[in-house]
Parts: sequence; structure tokens; C-alpha cells
Amino acid sequence: MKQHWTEGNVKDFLYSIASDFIEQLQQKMDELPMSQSELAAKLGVTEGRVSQILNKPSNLKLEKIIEYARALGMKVAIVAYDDGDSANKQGPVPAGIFNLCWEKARKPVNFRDVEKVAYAQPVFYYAKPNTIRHAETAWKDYEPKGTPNIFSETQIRLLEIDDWAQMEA
Amino acid sequence: MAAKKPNRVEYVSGLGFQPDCRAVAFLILKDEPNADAYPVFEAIEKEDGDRRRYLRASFDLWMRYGINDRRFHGWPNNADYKGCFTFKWREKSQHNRFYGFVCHPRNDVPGFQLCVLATHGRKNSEDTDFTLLDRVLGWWGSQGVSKLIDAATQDWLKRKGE
Repeated sequence: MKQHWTEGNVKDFLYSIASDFIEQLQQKMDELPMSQSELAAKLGVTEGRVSQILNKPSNLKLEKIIEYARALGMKVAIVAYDDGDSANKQGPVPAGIFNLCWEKARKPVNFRDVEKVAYAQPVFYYAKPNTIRHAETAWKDYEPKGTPNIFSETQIRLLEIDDWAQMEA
Repeated sequence: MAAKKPNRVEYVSGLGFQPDCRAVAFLILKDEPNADAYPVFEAIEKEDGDRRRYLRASFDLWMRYGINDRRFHGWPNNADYKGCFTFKWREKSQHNRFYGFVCHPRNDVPGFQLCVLATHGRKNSEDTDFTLLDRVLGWWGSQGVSKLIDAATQDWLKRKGE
């Protein structure tokens, strides 16, 4: 199989992860919400400068990454990982996937809490028969994008009518 | 190497090979000047610039089931254009779009989705030009295009994405 386009040169790889970072900033700006002009005011720079940073990810320096994340109330981690694809045929894993996994693991902030997560039993949500469709949709909405198998779908147990009656009894 | 057919579907290479997830391709029709997405893409590919990188990063994100209306979207709530899809990018004040459709060309893996991009639109506003989508739907519905998609998919699977 041919290598992923980000394997062509460092600039390509850098662009991919930098634009991924910018997407996280823009998502946060939408969530808050915070406009470009408000972000510029917070950073003490012009709106044009903010627009330049958001539209030219390849120029991002580590210092700017931290400044912009902090201005939006976020922190930054630099994660090196081994996804078993040393030839980079599939490309980088989006930062959003790491973030979602961390959130699903209840946001551990120290190594002890990570151990707790590792030994924790899965939480099961039981769905009433007539809510099955809703439960399936709810799961799909919550599923980490691009990694459908990280958390097993058995976390939602869809019950038959008899099982539900038994549970209620 | 065999000469490429004038009418064909060309899978975009260098995006990884996930044959049970998603892939992106272009529709090339020799006698359809409006099927102009591929020449535009080819020109962008020759650049060593951020436009190429932006577009490829968008393909990557969609292929990994990301959601980002700024970069791409379909029209799931519009019954007439439900299967249509667009990838977007901006050049200064101009809005550029590749329009196409999403299909399921693998009978053995129905969940596999292929986004076939066919036409290029350039405009000064965010609004969708539905005449371009109508054109896309016309191509999508044609038997000839279905055969081109099937042939390209078989070939892509055989070559494992190369």
C-alpha cells in the first residue's frame, strides 16, 4: 500500500497536525461561543493576526499553540504514540480521538486514576424494548469518531421484552 | 502500465487504505466539460502548498468519521439531495466547492462509503448552487457511472489503495 500523503515531507505532517489543532480551537470558539475579535482582544493582538493563525496552520509555533489554547481556557498535551503503523500508511490519528478517549475514561489527571479506569468494570445501560431505537442512536452519537471498536457497543444492552419484565420484577 | 481510460473513477491515493470505512474518488467523464472537479484537483495536487494540504486534511477527517461543516457536509435533511456531498475550501474571498455524492459500492461491506466528487463550483457566497447538485444527481443515476464506480472499486481493492 502507498504511504499516506503526510509521509511525503515534514511540512505535510506538520500541516496535518497543526490544522487538527486549529479545528479544536474553532470547536471551542463555537462552544463558548467566542468570536475571532473577542479572542484577539483576549490575546492583545489584531483580529487579522488571529485570522492569519487560524487560516495558516503551517506557521504555528509551540508558543502560539499554548497562547491560543490558554486564551480559550484549554491546556495542551503533546502526545507521541505508536499505532502500529510505523511506515505511516494510514496517516496521523486525529487529536480529537485522543481527547474523546480521555473524556470517556473520566478525564484521569494522574497515573493512579488511569489504573482505576483500567480495572473498572464497564457500565451497562439497559434499554427498554420500545426505546431500543433511541438507545442505538444515542450510542452512535456518543461513539468516538473513527474508532468504532475502542469501547464495545455491549455497553448498551438491548433487552428483549421478557428480559425487561424480569428486570422490573 | 495500461493507459488510463478516458471515462473513469479515480480513487484518491495517499489517504490510507480502510476498505471497510470510507474513501474518496473523482469522476472523470471525457465528454462532460462540467465534470471538472478532477482537473482542478490535479492542478492543486501539483502545488507544494497549503491548499493541497487543506484539502487532503479534509479528506482525512471525513474518512475518519469526523464532523466539520466548515470543511465538508452533505444535505441529510433535504430529501432531494440527501446523498450529495461537498468538500469546501476558501481562496481569499472566494468559496470553492467540490460537489459529488456518497455511495456504497461494496455489496460485501455495505457500510463502506465512497465519496465520488464530480464538479467544481466557485462563488462569492456560502449559498449552495443547487443546479450543480442536480447535475451530480444526473451522473449518479446513470448506469454508466455505476459501472465505472464498480470497476474502480474492484481495482482499488485489488491494488490495496495504491
